[in-house]
Amino acid sequence: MHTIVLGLGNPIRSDDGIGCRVVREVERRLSGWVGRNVEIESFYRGGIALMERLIGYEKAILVDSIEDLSGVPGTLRRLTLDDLPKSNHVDSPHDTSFKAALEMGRRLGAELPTEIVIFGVGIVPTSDFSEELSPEVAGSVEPTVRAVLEEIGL
Amino acid sequence: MKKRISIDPITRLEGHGKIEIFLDEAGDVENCYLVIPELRGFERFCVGRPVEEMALLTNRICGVCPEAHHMAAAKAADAVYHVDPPPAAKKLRELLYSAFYVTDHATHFYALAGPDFVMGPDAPVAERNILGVIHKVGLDVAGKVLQARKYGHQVVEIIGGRKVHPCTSIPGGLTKGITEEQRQEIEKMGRWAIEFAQFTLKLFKGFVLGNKSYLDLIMGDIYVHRTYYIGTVDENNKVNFYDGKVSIVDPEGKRICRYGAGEYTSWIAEHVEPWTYLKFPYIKPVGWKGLVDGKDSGVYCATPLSRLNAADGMATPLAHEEYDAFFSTLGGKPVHHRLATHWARLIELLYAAERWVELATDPEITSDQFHTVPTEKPTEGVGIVEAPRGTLTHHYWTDERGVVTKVNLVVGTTNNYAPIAMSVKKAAQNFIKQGTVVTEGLLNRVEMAFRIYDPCFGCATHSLPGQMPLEVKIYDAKGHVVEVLRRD
Repeated sequence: MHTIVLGLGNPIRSDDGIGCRVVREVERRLSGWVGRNVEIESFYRGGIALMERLIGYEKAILVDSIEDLSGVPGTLRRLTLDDLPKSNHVDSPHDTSFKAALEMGRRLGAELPTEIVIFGVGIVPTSDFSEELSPEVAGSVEPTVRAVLEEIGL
Repeated sequence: MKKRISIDPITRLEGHGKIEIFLDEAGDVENCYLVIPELRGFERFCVGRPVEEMALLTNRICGVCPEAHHMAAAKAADAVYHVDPPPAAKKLRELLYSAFYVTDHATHFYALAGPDFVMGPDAPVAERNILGVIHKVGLDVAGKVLQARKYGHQVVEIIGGRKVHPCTSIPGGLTKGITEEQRQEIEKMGRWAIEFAQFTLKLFKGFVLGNKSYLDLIMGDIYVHRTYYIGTVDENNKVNFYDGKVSIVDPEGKRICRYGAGEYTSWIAEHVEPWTYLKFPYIKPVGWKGLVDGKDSGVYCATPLSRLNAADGMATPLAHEEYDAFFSTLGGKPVHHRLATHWARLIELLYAAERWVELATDPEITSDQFHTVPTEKPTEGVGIVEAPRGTLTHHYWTDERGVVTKVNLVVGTTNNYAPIAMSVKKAAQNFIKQGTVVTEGLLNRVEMAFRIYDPCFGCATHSLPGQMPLEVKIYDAKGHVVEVLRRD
């Protein structure tokens, strides 16, 4: 299955960059795999831009930080689109929500993945600038990497 | 008992900012506050970095307009090294920037402003979004929006090296130029963009100007503020997004200055209010008189509307025609009706597309002279560009090795912090009165005031939202929540 793995986040906003850190490690582990049908990338946009990036793939795996309102930071959740808030309004500035963007793409006949899986790592958002993850969230990199590899089918 | 109504988070914008509305004992609006995260953390984060890294690093401030920060940073780094890039480099940067503007302004209109204007502020919530717009105007239009974005991103990638976060600017110019083949591709996309911009303006005029209730809203008093306006202009005082001098006009439209990048501290100062750590910029020689309108108050605005007010016209023919029609429809210059910002944005969209083609057909654009090697010692420099959201200023200080020692940023939205608070309060006062039930439409009208400014909320973070998109909290005088309203 032609798959895209995207690590979402801002790498200079500390834990917000967990997605990028995870996919970097996934890429490293798969680097010897010749002829693979999986593309791996860090991505920094939401909404319409994210939808556009998924065009042409059968499956998408997104790795992102998620606001942890209860529970322990670093907790990993496997989510589908149904688990995201039911809103066609935005959750990113100056753009539209990912779900609305997907719907827009589908109505336009874009070839979007039939399966979208989201791995959300719980974080407590701060306004810190750092290229380092907090210790609690850093500990979730390995389990998340393994979950992504399993999702790819390895 | 004081009551507070909170719009948290605001639909169609990132949830890091929130509006809080405080009611007095009688149930009338007393004050509105807008809370925005600050950039001081980022400024500190940059200290110790080589200044040439700033054009890559500041890309990450904003996930929506990294191109703007990249350009301001590139210009600031040129200034730090006291080097003037060759003409081809400036034109290439401006070409990239023009294509980015088309993408940005188009997305904003269809995804953000469009849902208000095309659907109507009293349309059901479920329809007041981009899907509602598509349903009303047709799938064909949605396809055009994606096409505009695709073309814009392609130009950014060709000149900037990457799709969204350009990386080819270095002190003194660019790391590469473009080939004739690439130039032709860029020109073709630009000509399409001009047609798209004209189409969008026509759509806007049809839906909005052809609708009396909307026209009344735009021309009404609710969204009016008489403040100073700023915007970058070229040597002919025409709007320019990439370079020039910053023009300031007073509430009567009289120009009081045109300042160069290095002079901004003589014209813009910052005022501190006790209820927010964010500082309010104001026009320094005029002085801070509070969150009030008028010639004696230093409050100013930096938006597409401001840019049109602060200039004498647009530098390209089709956009200039629209500029003249805009002011004659709205009763002359300057226009203080803030909702007209959305119309101004579309005139800028047309200018950006025309400028795209102008630059793509400039004989120098494929020159191989795209870099001047810096020879002077780095010290301090300022770079100013017009971000879509307002005048963007990057000010860097370095040591003699070019390592950053201090940074000051005035981002687009910071300029507008005072007028945003004023616009929201005025709208709220008109729609939330004693005994009036706070309905969906009312809250959205207040948000409309706010969205005029297309504000950024600090830095791009990407965490998925963990809760319902909208929550309104009403507090008593002691700060206890007395009621919570939810919205799907």
